[in-house]
Amino acid sequence: MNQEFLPAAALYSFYVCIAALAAGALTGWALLLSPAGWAGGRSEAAPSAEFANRLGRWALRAGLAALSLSLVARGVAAQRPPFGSQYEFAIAFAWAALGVALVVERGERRPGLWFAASVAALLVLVYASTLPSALLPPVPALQNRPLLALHVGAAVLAYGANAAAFAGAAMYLLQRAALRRRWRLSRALPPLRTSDELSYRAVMIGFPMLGATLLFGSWWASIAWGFYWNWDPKETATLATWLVYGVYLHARIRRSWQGPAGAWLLVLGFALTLFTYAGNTFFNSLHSYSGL
Amino acid sequence: MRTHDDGAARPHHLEGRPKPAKGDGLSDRPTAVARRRSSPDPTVVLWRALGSIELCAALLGLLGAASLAASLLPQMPLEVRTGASPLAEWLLGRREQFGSLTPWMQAMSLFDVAHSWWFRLLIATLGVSLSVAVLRRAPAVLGASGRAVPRARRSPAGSRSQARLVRTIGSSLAEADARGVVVRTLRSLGYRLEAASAVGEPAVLRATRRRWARYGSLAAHVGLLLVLCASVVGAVTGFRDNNVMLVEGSTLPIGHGTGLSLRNDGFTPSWRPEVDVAQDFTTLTTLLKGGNPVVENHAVRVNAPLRYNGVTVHQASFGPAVELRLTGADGAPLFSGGVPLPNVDTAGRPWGVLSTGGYRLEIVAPRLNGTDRETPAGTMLVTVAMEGRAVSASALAPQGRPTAVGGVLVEFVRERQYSGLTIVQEPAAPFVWLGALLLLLGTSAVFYFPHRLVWATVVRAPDGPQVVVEAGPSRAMGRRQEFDRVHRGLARALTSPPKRTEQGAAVRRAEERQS
Repeated sequence: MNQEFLPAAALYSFYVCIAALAAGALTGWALLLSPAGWAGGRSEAAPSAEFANRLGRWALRAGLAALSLSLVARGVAAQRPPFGSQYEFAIAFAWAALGVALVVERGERRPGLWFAASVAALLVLVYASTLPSALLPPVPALQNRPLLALHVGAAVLAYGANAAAFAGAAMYLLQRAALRRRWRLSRALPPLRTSDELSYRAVMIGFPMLGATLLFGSWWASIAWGFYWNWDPKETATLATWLVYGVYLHARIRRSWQGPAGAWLLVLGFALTLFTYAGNTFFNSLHSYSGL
Repeated sequence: MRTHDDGAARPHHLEGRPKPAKGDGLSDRPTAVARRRSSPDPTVVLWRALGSIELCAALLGLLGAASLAASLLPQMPLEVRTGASPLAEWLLGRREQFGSLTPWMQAMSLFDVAHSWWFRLLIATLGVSLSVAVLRRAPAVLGASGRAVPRARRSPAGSRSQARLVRTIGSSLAEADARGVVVRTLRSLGYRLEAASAVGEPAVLRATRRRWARYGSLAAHVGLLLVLCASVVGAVTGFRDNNVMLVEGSTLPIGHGTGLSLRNDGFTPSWRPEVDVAQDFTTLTTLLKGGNPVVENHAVRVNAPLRYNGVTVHQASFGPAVELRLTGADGAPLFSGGVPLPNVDTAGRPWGVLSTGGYRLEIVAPRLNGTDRETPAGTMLVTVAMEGRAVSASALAPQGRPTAVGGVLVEFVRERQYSGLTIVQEPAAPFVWLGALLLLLGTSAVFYFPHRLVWATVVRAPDGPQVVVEAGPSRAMGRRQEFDRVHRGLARALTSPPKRTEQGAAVRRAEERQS
């Protein structure tokens, strides 16, 4: 029963998540573009904006729950952590982006990261739907369940946090442009300080996780291949990404880097994250076993 | 209960008080900046510049750019770096990719970033910068933690980059009792009283939670320094032999002064039925020292290496091999053993090379899949040449039948498999792990379990004492939630039915003993 039911459950949950996120993203756009959204999401000023904000957040939570179910079903069916292929990693990536966005924006009332994160997760899931999704046994190098869970699990959280940080930075830059050009959109977006703070919180989750990805990856490489560092393109790109976020954290201590400069650094960091993630497809790398 | 959220406003009792230093212990402080400006000594200026955040951020950025270049551009394999001829051949391939830029890129070491002088310079500068930063700031971090409980005379004023979190709670308790309740409540919330004004003075209390997290930043920087140093030491100590091809039944000395040799007792692959990919592969090995086995029948798999006295043997790859006997024209045996066939020719046939007794043999085996007319199953194509000469002779050698080729007698005994192994000794690796662990624990402490600081000031007011609570400066996550928790706890305790005199007196006695 498991061999048929669980993969099917994983697939249906995946589609439910896409539907929930699409609904959330539509709600978000409606909120941003409607006069209710311009009122800033304050209940006393615009009840419909408050309602749309809540609806969008619940859509994101529903999407997160469906994606969690999909990951659990797939993991149980495969009898290993569900991170064994590019397809599985994409699902986990979207899951982490949604989860981190919800964690860092706790207590915020305006439509903030949830909207940007649901759009980003939706894009990742659409990409995932184009990848081969067959459940195959892992190649010999991946046959280490504890380290697969630690190394790739940390990478999943780091990537999700980087996506959430990027969402905050994008909101910051959008709000900055809106304020300069006096767009009414600025009333629906979170204040600059809030976006900056939300991005920073996401980096606080992502930076140690990316460090853990490197540490557990090196440990695993030393067990599987005999060397903890081999200047493999994938691990080198991960190091470059980690260093960019290290620059952000150090530079942010200076007040001049809290703002647009920091936001642009986060955009660069996320571009590197995507480059590292997609690198499996074009790197001549020891990590080229993604099912593609 | 009367509470008041002051937000960004500065309470009257804090007016005019200086701002405190910000607190991860490794960031430059305004006071340090002021001191730097007043010091003309160039060595002091250099010392401070080396340990500055600006230099550290710049170095991290440059190293990030270098790492990105190393992942984007093809990097020379180890076997190419060590020989002039393979290097020229490899660079010819790069010229097809990068055209006339290739010589310039080679001159800038962009094809070997990790071994370039400029990358090493960056690493060395980062090491110096980290050392100076740690040396400059460690005394402040360690000293602050070991100091006796100081007297608190003022509460913080927040930092420029953060909203100040200040709230006032009214109470109907007596002033001394309010102080006691605040101390007791903070303790019940997991806080430790770190500083207090003397009994009798207006009560100003400083309490901290997870004080150990203040070491996090220092631990992370020391960890990174340790990783850098251990990696440098690791590059010049130990050894790493990649892709050692050991045919079934063969024994190979490991060398490097270890006195060890390794025997391949058998190789077993298993295949995925649906695709042509190995599901698993295992080499049964015996490790010998002075001819005596020290580890016997150890199954080496990709994630299960053989370990002995700091030497590890890892399964890396596998491929076809042949076992053959070679006899000279005079009847003297020249070779008997396995020959790996790690290469594949354009017809898809595996081939390998054996150099022995002044002869060079190229051995080609039949294709693994499909039919092969040139080399039918049960034969191998052998080309023999004298070392250094171009003239050669070829013949098909059937299995089990000695065949004369180029002046030698070749006997194809049987088909075999070879096991590709990586043999490593890395004495500095434990220090790399220790450093990486410190780095990870340090950053986790700073970001996930941050040090919390709270000030509570009992202020006299006409309708009873007021307790002003203020969160310490921190960039950590959950600052507001934590402050709300403390505020809720204090508000509940200060407005609940009083248990006045005894507890107030007990707290006073405890504080007197502490101070």
